[in-house]
Amino acid sequence: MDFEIKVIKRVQAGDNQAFAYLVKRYERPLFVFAGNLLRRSHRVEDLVQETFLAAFEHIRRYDSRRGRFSSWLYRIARNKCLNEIKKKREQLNPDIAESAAGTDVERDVLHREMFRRLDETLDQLPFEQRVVFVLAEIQGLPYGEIGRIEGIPMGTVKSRLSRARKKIMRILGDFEV
Amino acid sequence: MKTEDSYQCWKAERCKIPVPDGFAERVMAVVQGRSLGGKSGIHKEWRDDLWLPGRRSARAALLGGLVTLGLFRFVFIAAKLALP
Repeated sequence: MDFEIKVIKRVQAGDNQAFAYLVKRYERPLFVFAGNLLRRSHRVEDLVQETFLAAFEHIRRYDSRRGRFSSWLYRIARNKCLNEIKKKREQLNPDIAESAAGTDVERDVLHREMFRRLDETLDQLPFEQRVVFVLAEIQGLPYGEIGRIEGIPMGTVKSRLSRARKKIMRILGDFEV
Repeated sequence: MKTEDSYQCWKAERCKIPVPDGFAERVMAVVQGRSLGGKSGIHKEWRDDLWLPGRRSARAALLGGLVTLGLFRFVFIAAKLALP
């Protein structure tokens, strides 16, 4: 973390090349985040790129005493995803959909049907619940950090997650033998 | 496979969203270009999307002020018309 703060300070001081470290470090988590929020969008790559460019442009406003850089970055990505959803430009991205179907998983029909329904349920969750679910369950972020990203208290994080889990578990219940 | 295992498997699959080849290099090319060329047309487009608290509240305050002024004007004109 200390090293990351040093890198951020270098970028804030005008060393643009140091920003490459932050892009490399956070490109994968942001792709997973945006890819799950906008599973049906062709714009995931554009949005992640725009997130990094916005972070770069405004990095002087980032204050490490107010929160982690990752929280700030997720917050920017989250807002860009919400804007995208509002624009209603979501279209099925076959590459991402295929990757979600998986190549390593068992190929039996029941299994694929379960994954498909779980994907659908995730897509249909209200945006606030989807963000919390993806950050907590898929990316494994602590509740405190999710609260800072969303700007909500930890209790609200837990209640949103609980509601999202209930919907997901209902689908799993249908597949119980 | 148990349902819980399937659930864990599904979550693992959802983490497998690939990062396109050369993504970081493309971002850095834009970053470097920006430092050389200053602000581009693209800049404004994404800048409008960035919800920074200061910008947002300033915009909301301006909008609120305009709406309030409009309402006052409406009430004033209505009162003027109502009076003999």
